This record gives sequence, structure tokens and C-alpha cells, in this order.
Amino acid sequence: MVSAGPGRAKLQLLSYETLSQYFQAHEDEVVEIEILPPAIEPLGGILMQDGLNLGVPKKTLALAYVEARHRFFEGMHDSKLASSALQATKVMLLFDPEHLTAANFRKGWLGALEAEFKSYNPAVYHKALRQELCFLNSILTSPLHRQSKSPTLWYHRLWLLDLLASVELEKASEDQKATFWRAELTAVCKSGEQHPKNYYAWQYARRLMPKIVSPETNDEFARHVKDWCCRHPSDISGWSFLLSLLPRLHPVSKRQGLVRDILSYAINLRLEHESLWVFIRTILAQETLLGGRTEFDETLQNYNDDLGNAKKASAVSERVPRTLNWINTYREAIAVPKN
Amino acid sequence: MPKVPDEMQLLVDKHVRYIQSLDTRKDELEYWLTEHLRLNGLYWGLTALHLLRHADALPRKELLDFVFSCLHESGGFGAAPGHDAHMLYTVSGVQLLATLDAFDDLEARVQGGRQKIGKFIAGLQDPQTGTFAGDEWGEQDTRFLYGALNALSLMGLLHLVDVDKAVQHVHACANFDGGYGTSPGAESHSGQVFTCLGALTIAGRLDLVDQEKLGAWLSERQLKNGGLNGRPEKKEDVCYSWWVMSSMAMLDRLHWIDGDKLTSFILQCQDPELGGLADRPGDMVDVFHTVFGIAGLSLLKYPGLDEVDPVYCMPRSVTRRCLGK
Repeated sequence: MVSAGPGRAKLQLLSYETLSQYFQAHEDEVVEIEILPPAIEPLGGILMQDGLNLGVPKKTLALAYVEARHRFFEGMHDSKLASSALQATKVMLLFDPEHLTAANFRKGWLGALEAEFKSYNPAVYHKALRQELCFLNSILTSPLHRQSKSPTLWYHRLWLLDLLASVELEKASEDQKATFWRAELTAVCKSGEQHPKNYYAWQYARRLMPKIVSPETNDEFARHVKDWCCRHPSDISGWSFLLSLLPRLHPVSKRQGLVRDILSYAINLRLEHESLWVFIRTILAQETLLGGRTEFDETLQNYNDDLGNAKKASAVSERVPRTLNWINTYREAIAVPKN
Repeated sequence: MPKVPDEMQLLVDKHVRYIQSLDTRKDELEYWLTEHLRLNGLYWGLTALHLLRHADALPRKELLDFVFSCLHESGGFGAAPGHDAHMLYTVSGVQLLATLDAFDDLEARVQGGRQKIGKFIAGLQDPQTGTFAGDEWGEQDTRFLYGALNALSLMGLLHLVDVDKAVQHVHACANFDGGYGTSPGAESHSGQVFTCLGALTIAGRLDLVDQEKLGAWLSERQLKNGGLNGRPEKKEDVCYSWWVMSSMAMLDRLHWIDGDKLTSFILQCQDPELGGLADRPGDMVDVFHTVFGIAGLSLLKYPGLDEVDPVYCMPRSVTRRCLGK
């Protein structure tokens, strides 16, 4: 791959330039990128483009990466070649999203831009931040298995978001703020669909929460994530994030309403997904979060009795008694004050 | 000793040759895809060789040359020459030096080298919360906190950081479900459980753990096929033979996992032709799953393997030498 002959070197350059130009041409848009299986060969052999959809054969990507890596290490410490190095990092991160040094280089560049332009020509700086977000959306929400769960890229996004928030949210209306945060949750949900149980995508969502002050946005997130989880009942990361949102809902009746919906959903559809039942047992055992003992225990006990009376054993009929057992073992009860 | 069918044995020689071959694969895509893990890869390979009792299968001098070529002026290590320094690489660098018994070589090449590395690590502690960042860009994670305590303790430099603060932070990461995550309130994950228990063990504060509840959560990780997963409804994966079993070992509850079934699952993940272990039977092998599969077998007392230290994922003989216990 590295000891390339002249034919290979030419192909390497062509692959890099074609891919790089595509990124350049779409730097203000979110594109959807897919790695093509070896059986699909694009006409011309390099890329398959259809507007905002890009298909890249693995071979093209690997060849482009070798060229990008070369340009990056050649230019990272040379101010004359810095823009070539910067351009190369996009291809590098598409191929290897954990390339920390490439991601850091982009942070360093944005930092320098902030120092140079933030006060004197803020539009230039703002545009660069928005383009960076487009680039990250393209990689994190495309059907790319490793990329969509990359801790390095999700942290890069969190770092970027603080810069973006300081530019956009200071004078924003409540509606604009809600739109800003909604876009982040949308990206997380999409990424969570590309890579189920996406630990780092949902961790990113969690790290947004302390930045969000509006109770309406909290409520909206909880509703949205609840619906998402009910569509993906085996997604433990989604359920776990939902659990972390509950203490943000006030008054406590909102939490009860949400748990009531989920419990009826599990019972009515006779679902047996472990992740869903982990959510149920974890929340039902925390009376402090639910404002005291609720009717849910009885609902669950009745369901268990029904299942016990059923003639045929099923996965659910094992899951429910184990859930009850866990709740009874670990219940964190509200201390009842003595008179 | 676990009961294993005769046809399923650990293919020691093949695994040794597989690890030796890793640095000769520069014409393969995988080699470049993993450049950001080169130093970690060396640590995984060398540790696997030690546990397989082939400690000298890689050339010491070349190994050390490479390790030192990753060391920055700041005292941090990068993944490979030219790569930025980060906690995760620095820990691997220190673990390699410890395993190669090379702290004197370090001082000979870089005066005050140990102190320098220690200061790099200590500089990443957040004085407010006690946790650690991975590098100057500020991402925080219990993986980095554990790494800091791991490397500093191996170098005898724990006093450079506020261990009590770090312990408080880990304690705040305990979730109601029994597990631990990357930060307070984060999703429970077997890998993070390992880092949190490891940190608390190094600090001598396992008393803070609800051991019964966590042990129960960990025991739910074993699936019908014997393999372990990292979280509910994830697939089994050989690397959790390490993250889950080492945690069970620290909790003194190895018997809460069916060892025979797990041993058989790990052995099925071997490549019988070219050596190495994969995440699951039939998948492509890599050095990461190779070391954690072998380390898991060592915890399971598989015959012919050296004892692994569940806190450090290093040969017990090495940690005994470094820690003096």
C-alpha cells in the first residue's frame, strides 16, 4: 500500500483529489456517505455520486487515506502547507475517525480562526463553525458503522458546540434556542439508528443537558426520546438516557405520566426486551424519583399474576418475576416521617 | 482447571507467531487503519506474549526504541511518532516500560523521565472534580482517571495527584442499576465498570462499592452461549471476558460466571490457521481481542498461562515487582 508503483501513486492522488473535491463542493451541506461493498463498482472507478449521496468503494477510501496521511504529516508543522494538511484531515477522519491528531489539528485551526476573526470579521469565523458542524453531521449520521459511534468525533462535536453556542445563543430568542438544541437531539437519534446502542452518541446528548436551561426543552427532549425508545425497545443507550432525563421533569406527575405510558406499552405489547425491562426495574425501584410508592407496583404484580395463569411459558413470563424481584431487593424507598 | 473438550486447546505457538507477524503487515489496510493505536497495540501484543510465557518473542531493544520515539517533550506519549500525546497512549507507554523492566533505560535516555511522565499525567487532573482529561483539549472520562492511577502507581508517583478527590469522583459515577459509566450519570458499561473498580482498588477504596448489586449486574452479562457482553442486549464479545471477569476478580466473585462455558467460548474465537483471537467465532482476529481473550483465560486459571493482574492487565510478576506487593 505504501511502497506504491507509479500506477498506484497516480490512483492514490486521483482518489484523494476526487474525494477531497466532493467535500469541498458540499462544505455547506450535510451529505450521506456510504462505503460500497466490493461488488458495486462506480463508473469511472472512483466514487458514486448522486447529489448529496456519496458511495465510496473501500479501495478508493484506503488509497485516498494514504495520500491524505502523507499530506497531513508533511503540512502539520509547516504554515505554508497548513491548508493542505487541514483539507487532508477530512479524508483521514472519514477513514479513521479515532485519528486523534487529525481531529486536534482541526480544533487548533478553529481556535486560531476564533482568535483572528471573532471580533474583527465574525461572519468568517461563524461560517467555519457551521461548516465544521456540517462535516461532523455528515460523518456521524451516515450509515458508517465505526464512524457513527466515534468517541473522538463526538467529543470534537461537543467542543465545537460550545464555540457555536457562544456565537449563536447569546442573543437568540427562546424559539431559536429550542431549534438549536432540537437539531442536536435529531443528530443523536439519527446516529443512534445508524449504530444501535450507540454509547458515545447518547453520552453526547447527556452532556448537552447541563447547557439547556429551558424547562420546555427538557420536556420536549423527554417526550421525543420516549417515543424514540418505544420504537427501539432493545436500545439500552436510549433507555438509559431517558432515565437520566427524568429528574429534570417537574412536577413529579410528568415523570409518573411518562413511566405509566411505558409500562402500558410494555404490557399491552407483551414485550420482553431486556433493555426495556432494565429501564422499568430501575425507575420503579427509585421511589424518590417517582414521589413515593405508585400504582405501578400493583400493575406489574397483576401482570405477573396474569402471566403465571397463562398456560404457555414465554420469555416475558421469566422477565417479569425477575423484574419484580430486583425491585423488591433494591427498592430505595422514601422514608416516611414519624409523627 | 476448566473442563474443555480435547479438540479445543489454546493454540499458543500460533498466537505467538501471529503477534510476531503484526509489524510485518505494512502492506495491509488494517495496519494503517490502526496507526492511532500503535503503542496500545504493542502493549496488548507484549502482554499477551508474557501471559503465553513467550516474553522474549519480540526484540526488547527495538520495542524500546519505538516506545521512546513516541515520547513527547511534555512527558506524554503519542500513538506513534508524530502523533499528539494523550493519556491513553501514555498509560500504554508506561505499562510497556514496566513490563520490559525499563524505567532505568528511560532515565538513561531522558533525564528525569519518570518525573516528567508523572507531571504530564498529574497536570490532566481536574482540581475541582478530581477526574482526569485525556489531553489539553479537555475530554474527561473514567478511562482517563483509571489510566492515571494505573500509570502513576506503576511508577511510584501516586502522590503527585489528589487520590481522594479521584476516589470521590469515581464514587459519584456509581449508577442506581449497580454499574458505572464514563462520568456521573452516564450509562453503565462493563468497560467503565473495570476502570472504576480498578481505580478504587488502586486507591484501596473498594469499600465504597455496592459489591452485591454490581456483581449481580455483571453476572447478567453472561449469555446462553457462554460469552459475555458489555451491556444489556449487546452481542457477546471476547474482550468482555476481560472487562467483566477482571471486575468479578476484584470483587472476589469469579464464581458468579460459568467458567467452563466462558472458556469454551473464548477458545472458539481462535483462528486455528493463523493464530490470534477475534471478538466472536469466525470473525477477523486482532491483537486487542487476542490479549483480552488470553487474559480472560488466565483469570479462568487455564493451564500453561502466567497469572494476570486483574487491576492492571499485566503479568502479576511485573506488577509485584513495580508495586512491591
